[in-house]
This record gives sequence, structure tokens and C-alpha cells, in this order.
Amino acid sequence: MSARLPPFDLHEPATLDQAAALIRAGGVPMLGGATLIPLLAAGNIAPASVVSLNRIPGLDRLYANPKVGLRIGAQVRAARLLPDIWTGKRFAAIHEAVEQLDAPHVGNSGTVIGNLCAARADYDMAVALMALEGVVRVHSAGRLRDIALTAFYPAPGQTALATGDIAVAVECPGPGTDAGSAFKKLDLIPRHIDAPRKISAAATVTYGVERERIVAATLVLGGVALPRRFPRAEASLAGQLPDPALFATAARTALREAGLPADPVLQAQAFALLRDALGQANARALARHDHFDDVADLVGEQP
Amino acid sequence: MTRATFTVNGTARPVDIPAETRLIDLLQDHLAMTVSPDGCGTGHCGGCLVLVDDRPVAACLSLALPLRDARIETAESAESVMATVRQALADHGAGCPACRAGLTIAATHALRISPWITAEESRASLLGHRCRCTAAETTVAAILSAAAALQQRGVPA
Repeated sequence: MSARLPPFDLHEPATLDQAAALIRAGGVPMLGGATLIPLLAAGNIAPASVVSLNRIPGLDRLYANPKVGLRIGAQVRAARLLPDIWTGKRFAAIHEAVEQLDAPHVGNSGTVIGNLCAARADYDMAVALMALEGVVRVHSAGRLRDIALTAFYPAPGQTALATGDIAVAVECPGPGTDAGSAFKKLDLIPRHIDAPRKISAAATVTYGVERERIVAATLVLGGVALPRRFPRAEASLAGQLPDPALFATAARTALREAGLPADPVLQAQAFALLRDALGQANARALARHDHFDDVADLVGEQP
Repeated sequence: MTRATFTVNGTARPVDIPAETRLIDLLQDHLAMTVSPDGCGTGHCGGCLVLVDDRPVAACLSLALPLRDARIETAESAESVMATVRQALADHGAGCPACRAGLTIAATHALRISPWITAEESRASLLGHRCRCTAAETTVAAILSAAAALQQRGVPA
């Protein structure tokens, strides 16, 4: 049986400014509580007050549109992304990260923003959203500012948020017309290592208007460490024709950039995830088509 | 202490609770519900699932006070789908005493979405559970028998 929580005051402010003042005074912010409550129960933290951000209006919106982008408000529980058709179709990487939450019901209380702000390597949302070029929108001293996810984790266990800053949403740009994304993870407790192992990878692949060559790609690895992108591997894909060998080479380049421990099993698993994330993102990008293609398929002709 | 009224299994329950009360503490300590054991405390075992506004939520992962406007349902609910599931799990001997409440909630959630459920969908509804005391297939069989009973009764799909 887990412990009861230590005593604290619970504040439920109605505005961001009130919340920021309470957090600056030592309060710990809370959204769903999926990360915070186990920490409190384990005695890892014992704050004098907890500041619930769930009563602040305007933070509960989820908006996904392939032309405009994806916007996930701070109060949006992760599972809300699952029935959203545009999130599933055009922002597949984050959709898959939520789909694979362990346990699935955690997505009914945990939020995407809470997952990002926990700054934990074994959390998945940042991996997917970094591949989708996500930006965290932050309420800071009465103003809004944006922090790209690539700059959101300055050090292990830390975010770029200053005390009193509140992440109000995460936003991703709309994907290109012919673009696809994917997220893959391994969540293992192998017999030959002591600690549970989690590795996750996400990728996007974007084609140009002629739908022949890749014009841009993103590649992210997480789980073993806080997520990061691999500029050299990404650059090696730009301008290339798609090919399984190309994705394998890019995955190898990313592995070299990642500097993982020299464990051959870990290396092999990370390689497979990176390669497969790229392959699936590519397949999704190529599966994108417009109405003209449907008609051409019906009459048995290729445009 | 804060005075708050919670809607649990359709009944308004006023209580005085401290701010640090989790949903599981509210149900166990203040409302004397016995069906929500506190298992892992991290939301991973699925033992303490309850329905909050019709969604399965681990009661060990939520503070109680922010849920004072929500509809909370435990595995003790008298509602007909829940009662059918509870009976089917008992008849099949599915789930250990610690996990049966959570399994009841997960199965009820799945069967309320549709009683025309397949074995595969039943298995998927159990993904968040760690009960290894009884065979998962026994639980699947129980869910399918509850589904058959609901279909026969004509619960709308």
C-alpha cells in the first residue's frame, strides 16, 4: 500500500497571474497529477502548497488542423488526442506516443504538458513532439513567450522554465502536404540488466511538390536520455530518394551523434527504432495523396 | 479541512477532507468504499480504477478536491452494465480480490462504448492491468459473457 500524501495547501487560482504568484511563493504546479502525486506519495518532495492549474479558463483547448498546426492546451488530458482525426492522420507521432502510454488509463488523468514539464527521460511525449518541431508556449511575467522543445531541456531533470513560468500549451506547425511522422518505443525489463530499459524514437519525413525526393526530415531519440535531435543524420536525408539503406545509414549517423553507452544490445535496439521510425514516417508521407490520384487509380492510370 | 460534496455512484456525498486527500483516500477513508485497493500508487497496476466522468482513472493518481464537480463511479455502482460485469467476473472467478474492482471498471467502460465487443477488444480493455493471479483469458471470457447478457437484454449499442 502506498503512503498517504504529506499535508499541503491546495490552491486553485482562476488566472495565470494568480497562479504564477503562488508558484513564485513556493507552490508546486499541478495539472493532472500523474507525475506529481506519486512523487508526493513517495516523499520525494514535500511542498507547502500545490497550485492546481485546472480552473484557469482557456487552457483546455485541443486544436489540430493540417494547414494550421497542432495546439494542445495545458489542461488537455493526453487521451483526448486519441479520437481526434487530424491528430491521428497528420500528427501521427504524438498520436502513437499517447496510444502506447503504459498504462492506457494514465492518459485520462495525465496531461501532455505535464509530461513535457516533468523533464523525465522515460516520458514519451517530448520525443514525438520534438520530431514534430513542437514549441512550448510559456506564460512568463505576464507575457507569452515560446521555447522550442529542442531548447526546453537545458540539463537532465530541468526545463527552461523559470520559477513562476507556466507552460500554457505546446504547438506544432502544420506538416507539409506530403509529410508523415512516426513514433516507436521499446519498454523492456530484460533479464540481463538491472534497471528497466526504455528507448523511444520519432521521425518525420517531408517530400517536395514533385513527391520524389525528401526535402526535410527530423529524427529524435529518447528514453535512454532526454530527447534530442540529430542534425547530421537529418541533413543526410535532405535531397535524397527514399531507400531502406538510406534510412539505415541515417539511423547509424544518429547513433554516432547520440553517444549512447557501448552496450551492443542497447545500440542495436536504438538503431532499429530510429531506422523503423524513419521508414514508417516515409511510408506515411508517400501514402499521402490528393483526390487526383484517387481518380487516376480508378481508371488504371498513373498521373 | 475543506467541505466538499462529491457525486459518487449517483449520490451526493458531503465530506470534510484535507487538501492532500487523493481520490483513493476519499473513497477508502471518508466514504468507506472497500472496492478500491491501493496497489502500486503510481497508476500502473490498474487496481484502483474508478470512472470519472465516464473515463477510467487511477484513483491513486488524482487529488480528490479538483474532482468535486465530476461524476465518480466505483465498482460498487448499482448501474446495470456495472452490475452485469461484476456478476460475470464473480461467476468466472476472474481477477483476484485486489484487482477485480479495477477490472470491473475497465470492462464496464469497454461495454458501455459497445456491448458488441470482440475477444480482441476485451483483451485491449485490460491493457492497463497487472493482475497475474488469474488467467487473463478467464477475464476475457467473463467480459464476453457479460457482453452476451447485455446484448440479450437489448442494451443499446
